[in-house]
Amino acid sequence: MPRADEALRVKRLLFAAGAATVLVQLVMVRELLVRFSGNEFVIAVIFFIWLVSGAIGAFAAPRLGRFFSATGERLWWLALLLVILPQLMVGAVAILAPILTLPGVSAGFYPTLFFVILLISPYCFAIGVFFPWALARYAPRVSGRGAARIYLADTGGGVIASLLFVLLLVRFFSSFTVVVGGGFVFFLAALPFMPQHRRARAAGLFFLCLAIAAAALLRFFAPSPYNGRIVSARDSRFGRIEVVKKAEQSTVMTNGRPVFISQTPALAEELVHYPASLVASPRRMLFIGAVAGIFVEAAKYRPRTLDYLEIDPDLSRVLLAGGLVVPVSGLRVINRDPRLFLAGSGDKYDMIVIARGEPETFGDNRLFTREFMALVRAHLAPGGVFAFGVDGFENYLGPASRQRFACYYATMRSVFPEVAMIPGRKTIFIGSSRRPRLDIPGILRSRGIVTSYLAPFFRGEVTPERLRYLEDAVRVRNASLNLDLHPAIVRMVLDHWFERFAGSPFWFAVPVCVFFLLLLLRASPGEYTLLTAGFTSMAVETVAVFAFAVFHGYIFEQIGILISLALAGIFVGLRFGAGVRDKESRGVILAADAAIIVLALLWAVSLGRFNDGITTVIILFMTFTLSLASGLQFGPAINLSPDGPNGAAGAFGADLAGAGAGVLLIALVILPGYGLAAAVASIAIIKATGMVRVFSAG
Amino acid sequence: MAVDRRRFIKGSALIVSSLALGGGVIWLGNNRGRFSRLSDITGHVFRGQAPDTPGPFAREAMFYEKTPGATVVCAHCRHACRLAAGDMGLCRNRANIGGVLYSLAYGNPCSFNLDPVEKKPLFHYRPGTSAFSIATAGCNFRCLNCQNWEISQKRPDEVRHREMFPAAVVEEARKRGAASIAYTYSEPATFYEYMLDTAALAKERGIGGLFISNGYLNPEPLVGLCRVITAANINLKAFDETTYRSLDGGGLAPVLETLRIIHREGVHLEVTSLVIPGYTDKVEDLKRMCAWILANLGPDVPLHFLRFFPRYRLDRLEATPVSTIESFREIAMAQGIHYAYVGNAGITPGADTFCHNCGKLLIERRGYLLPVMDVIAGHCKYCRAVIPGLWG
Repeated sequence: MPRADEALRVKRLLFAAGAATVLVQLVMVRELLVRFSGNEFVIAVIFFIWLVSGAIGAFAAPRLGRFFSATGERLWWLALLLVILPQLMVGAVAILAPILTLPGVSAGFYPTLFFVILLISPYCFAIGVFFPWALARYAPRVSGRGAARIYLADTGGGVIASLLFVLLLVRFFSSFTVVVGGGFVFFLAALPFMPQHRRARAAGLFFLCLAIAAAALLRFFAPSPYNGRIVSARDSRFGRIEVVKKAEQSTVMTNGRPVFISQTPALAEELVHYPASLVASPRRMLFIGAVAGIFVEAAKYRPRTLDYLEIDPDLSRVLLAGGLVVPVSGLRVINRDPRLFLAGSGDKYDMIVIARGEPETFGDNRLFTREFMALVRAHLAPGGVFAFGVDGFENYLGPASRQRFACYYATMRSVFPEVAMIPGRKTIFIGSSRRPRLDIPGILRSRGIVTSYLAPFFRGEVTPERLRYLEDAVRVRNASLNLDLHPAIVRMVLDHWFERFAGSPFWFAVPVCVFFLLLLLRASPGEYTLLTAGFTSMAVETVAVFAFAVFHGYIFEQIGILISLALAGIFVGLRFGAGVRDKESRGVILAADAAIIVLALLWAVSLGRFNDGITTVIILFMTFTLSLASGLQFGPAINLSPDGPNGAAGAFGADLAGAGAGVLLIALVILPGYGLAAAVASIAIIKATGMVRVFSAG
Repeated sequence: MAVDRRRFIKGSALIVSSLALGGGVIWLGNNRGRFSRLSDITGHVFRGQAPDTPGPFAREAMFYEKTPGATVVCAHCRHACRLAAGDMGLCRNRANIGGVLYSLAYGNPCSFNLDPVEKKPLFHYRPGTSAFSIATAGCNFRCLNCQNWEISQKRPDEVRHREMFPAAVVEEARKRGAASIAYTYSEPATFYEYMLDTAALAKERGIGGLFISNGYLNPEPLVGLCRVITAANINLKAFDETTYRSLDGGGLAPVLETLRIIHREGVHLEVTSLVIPGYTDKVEDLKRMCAWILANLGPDVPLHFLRFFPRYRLDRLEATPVSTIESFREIAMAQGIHYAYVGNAGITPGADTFCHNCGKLLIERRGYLLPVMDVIAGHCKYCRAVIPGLWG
């Protein structure tokens, strides 16, 4: 039987494991997004694969235990594997992606899925095995109390690591260093379980050194994913920023995609002069984001105010320091969330222009909603205009593009009396209060504004047929509006992405549905409770981050703190749940279920009814209490599970699988398809089924 | 310490495996994209996706071969799709319905615009005029950088279209004052019958026909087409087979043959080459391409180098630096090509026409505007040298 200090060592090991795995997760998500697409679908799928692979590992742990009992030495070997694998993963992601895909080519959904599974699922499977094995070392007889404490230690490690990463590590260390560092801490915590045999120790250390060396070697020799030379690379809070130079041209890549090409005056001219030509005297300008040459074009109007809002301070620093954005006289660079900036500013502008890409994530979507446009309009001087550019119209709009264009148009039209769309490099949407004149070259000529692209090419780009086509295309009956609480554009951008790769998520959805159906049918009442608890905790995190960002801007630290608050809620819940005795378990589960249902419904009803201050308090309160109620169920649910390692492993697995389902359903189906209220209400529905299951089990 | 046999073998294995790992990593690094380049993205026939009956926009195909059973072999393009009854061709535009091959795109264009002829690009063909440009859905290539993928990678029944049979197309072109009708955007070879009939009718009315294509058409239909069109711009997408296969899903040799045939048939020809960083920006390939053009088409065929921008699936790559295409133009002219141009690069002297004989500026192009036009009746205003092209 393990001694008391053995239990303490296991708890330390679990704490370190929680910290290391969270660091690996954060780093790998970042690395994968750099190599593949960074849209909401890919992000959700990475988390889903992570959680479900862990769940499968947990379910498999007892079966593996038949062949390998969870001795301290085996726990060490498994811990060593969990230290070694991430090094190889970080190395492999750098070298495999450019080999498996052609340079510069985006992978579609299924190649991305294949790569994600290949790369992260072995590691996640091992994590899934690790926790039941650690539990077996912690206590010979599995109890809710023991399992909850193990979970507690792991969660605690995760909270600390995620805060450290967000606030500190990401700014100062490379992905590789973070993973090696996290692995080192984990390795130290595993030392007490190190085998006594000298040769085994030497072999373990040798493998570890070999893995680190191999990872360093892989990263060193990994081919650049770009054609040019990377002259600078840094990780910001929002992703990786790289500057690639080829001949005289510089390209800024964020998460592997070109967002700024130094030799593209055309787009700058379109984004500046199309809206400016519709304003009598454009002297106060605000740009959200930047493209090459945009401020030089803006300066042609001799603006009194020229503000450049860039949410990512690292990006604006890179653009200015590299001379990519010419700092024209009077340019004011503001690193703030645009919504927060506008909400707190009394300034009026003659034109406000979004000079950045379309929203692929919920965070970015907030700059394209009706509420944001209303905020923008409130900051426009009389006769002022608002503009942004949308990709995807050369000569025809496919169904997904048409839907997207119609949504942008309808959303803008719900705020501005007049909306114009001008085709070109991008289609420029312009909202104004007056009917715009489209003889733009003539207007520019009369003002003495000289352009190198716009005037000479206007005749071939802005043809009557194209203008008429766009006008017809956006007149869709019942076009969706893109709202803060119903981010319709995100779904349409994802539809367009799938259409681009001629794919559909159908063949992904089928096995996923079969997996969850089998899980639901085979789950014991305790496992079912944890399945829904996992769903709840992940849904709460996703919804809370989304809602917080909608109401309060994309503020990285606060979102990190929000997730930590959710984890802290789980942590407190686990502590209370650990003290619940066997016979009280069913009652506690039902009470927690009822509490979650009531809270979720109250949250759904409260949405949009209160001011921002009260809404903030509600989000924080709900995040903490719902997470607490989910965490509370963990110990009692294990008490309801069949005794023995199978029960604990099944419980761990169910919790992880439920969380995986939560990511997929909430982020990909319910939020973009039905909105925030439906996402919150879905928690109540899922929990109600859990309640029925426990209640009916008698 | 004595080294026994077992320890020696273990140590050796360790060293060898470490070296193998290191060597493997270096080899993989040096062979970037090798595995994926082996892939051929040509695509495949769509089994069982033909409509049950020919619709209002279906016409029996002009070139195909019936084989025993209900199987047919399409003879329009080089893919030579073998289609059983109910199958649809690789181009998504030709289907075997009951043992007869139909074109499904006759009179149903999904896109039509009035474009400057310079946009095609055609620089030596009636400068300053407009071309009524039409396209239907479908393409026999799978270019990863296609800018019209929303029509080229779709079936005709998947896109919104307008009914516009050949007479209506010609009438629309006439109403808009277009000097020509351009068959463009997607791949016109896939709507061959529609293009052929329209071009023939347009020719009768004095309206030119512009074939803007990837050049993967078979010789027989191509020769027929050359009788009714007035100019062609063929996109020579790469100058090696491997890149053609992996980037576009086509092949080089058939395209070169197309260029030879169009030139031989006396149709005004211009060639376009998109310069994509890392794919088609190798100077050796450019020199080989110029040598081939000089040997087979002569120095007077205008050659356009276009700047690449991230598009469609090839969207994680840099754009082509302007200096790269400008240097391509200079190299091509140094090789002996008389008229090389740069495109997609804004206002640049590389888009202007200079007399190959006296070197004087003949056509200044500022976008689609032509402030200087000194080609007089097909001759240089200064030295009276004949400038190749159709100028009337």
